Amino acid sequence: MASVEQEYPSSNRAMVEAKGLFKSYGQVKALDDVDIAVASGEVVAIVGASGSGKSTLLRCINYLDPPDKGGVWVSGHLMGVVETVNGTRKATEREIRRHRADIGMVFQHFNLFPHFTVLQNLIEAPMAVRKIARAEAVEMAKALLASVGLADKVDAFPSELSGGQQQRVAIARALAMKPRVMLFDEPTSALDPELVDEVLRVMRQLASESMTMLVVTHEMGFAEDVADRLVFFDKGKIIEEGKPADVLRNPAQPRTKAFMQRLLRRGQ
Amino acid sequence: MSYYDLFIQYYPSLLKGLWTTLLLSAVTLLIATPLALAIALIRETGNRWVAIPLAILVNAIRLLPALLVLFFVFYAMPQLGYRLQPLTAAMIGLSIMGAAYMSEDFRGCIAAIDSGQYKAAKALGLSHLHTLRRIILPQAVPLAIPPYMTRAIIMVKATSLASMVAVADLTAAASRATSITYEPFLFIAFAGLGYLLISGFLALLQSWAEAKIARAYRLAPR
Repeated sequence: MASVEQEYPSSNRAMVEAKGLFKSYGQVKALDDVDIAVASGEVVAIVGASGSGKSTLLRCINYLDPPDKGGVWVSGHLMGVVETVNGTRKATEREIRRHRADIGMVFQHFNLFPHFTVLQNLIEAPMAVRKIARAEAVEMAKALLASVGLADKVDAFPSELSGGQQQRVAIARALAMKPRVMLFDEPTSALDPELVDEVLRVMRQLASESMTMLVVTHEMGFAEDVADRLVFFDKGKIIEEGKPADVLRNPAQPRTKAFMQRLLRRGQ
Repeated sequence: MSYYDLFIQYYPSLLKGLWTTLLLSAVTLLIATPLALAIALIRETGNRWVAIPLAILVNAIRLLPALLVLFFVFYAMPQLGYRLQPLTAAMIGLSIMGAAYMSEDFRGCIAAIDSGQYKAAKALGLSHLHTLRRIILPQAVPLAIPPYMTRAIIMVKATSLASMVAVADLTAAASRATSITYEPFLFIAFAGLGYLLISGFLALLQSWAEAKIARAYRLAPR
């Protein structure tokens, strides 16, 4: 059970702020005292070896997997906690859901609903969670699909789309909830190389529209071009962060250096 | 007496037996199906502290012989003060047996749905019930048709065990007529035909349901 921290975030301008996050799975420390603050409109690339805690951080931020200890503030609201007249209490599942809906998430394997058309994938949550009328949800969905270049795929089923198209639908589905923050968990890792760019293009466009984004990625080109900051994870800790170009070219930590060299050797 | 005369003499009791078998099949399926679905959903996606006792219960039931369970309900329950009509006892016994097996069939179909579906639904803020109703079950139902219909056919055939607890079903009517007339061929064959009709109908229903669901969900092979 998460302990409730009564402190307030240090910066009111932070869109996402996490303080003292701990998360263990059995003996494995996935997050070991992680602090991170992401300003509104900032794009943060999260890099590190697999199992270093990057994806766990994302899942802790939207409380898909609540942290064991520590607090997460999303646009000033402490996740998992509700303020009442006489202090604070643990949020109910319903209250957590409402806050989670403000945080969009995109998964490595897209996780589209295969029995729904593209349009149904986009309107289901806005109608069920936001209580938006169908006509309005459909209109918004069509506009979003046009913005990710898939206006002609409204009635297609996910199985009829390429991986890159599916991931663009998944991004549109998350955006349909009008999130304040977007979390991307290795959004291009499951894609054939020739399909990576179409997804990155949509993400660049989103970044240029000042969406706050946390992106777990192995795409160093994208990290360098688009991210404002690169954060390097190792064994559940952030061991290095800074301007992407600096961290990529001049890593201070030996572990970061070793990781970057491995990536380079792989031909990135 | 000719087969025709024998048949004329016994067909009222045989038809009554067929009707009882039909009733027993329908009622046990109607009770077992929702029960099995609830057990499977709780065990696969629900609270651990409800799921564990259910798992113990399901295993205790499915590991016992069906006939023994029927004997327990019909003969042993009266000792605890619950005296039941034969038909009621058979309905209860066969329903809980069927539900225990069927819940395992359903569990397999629910477990087959990718965990990413739950994560995506949760990340979108959808409630657990909404996720089950709109996301998980529509994908699990098509998978469940073949094992479910097979289970239904097995349950129809298992209703013949009710004849052992004094229910005058099709098996009981046929065996009674046989033991009076010493003409097993006619009556056992008739009973067989009766079971073939009911389970044959279910087999046809399965083909129809598979075709219909394939169209409804257009689940293309991935």
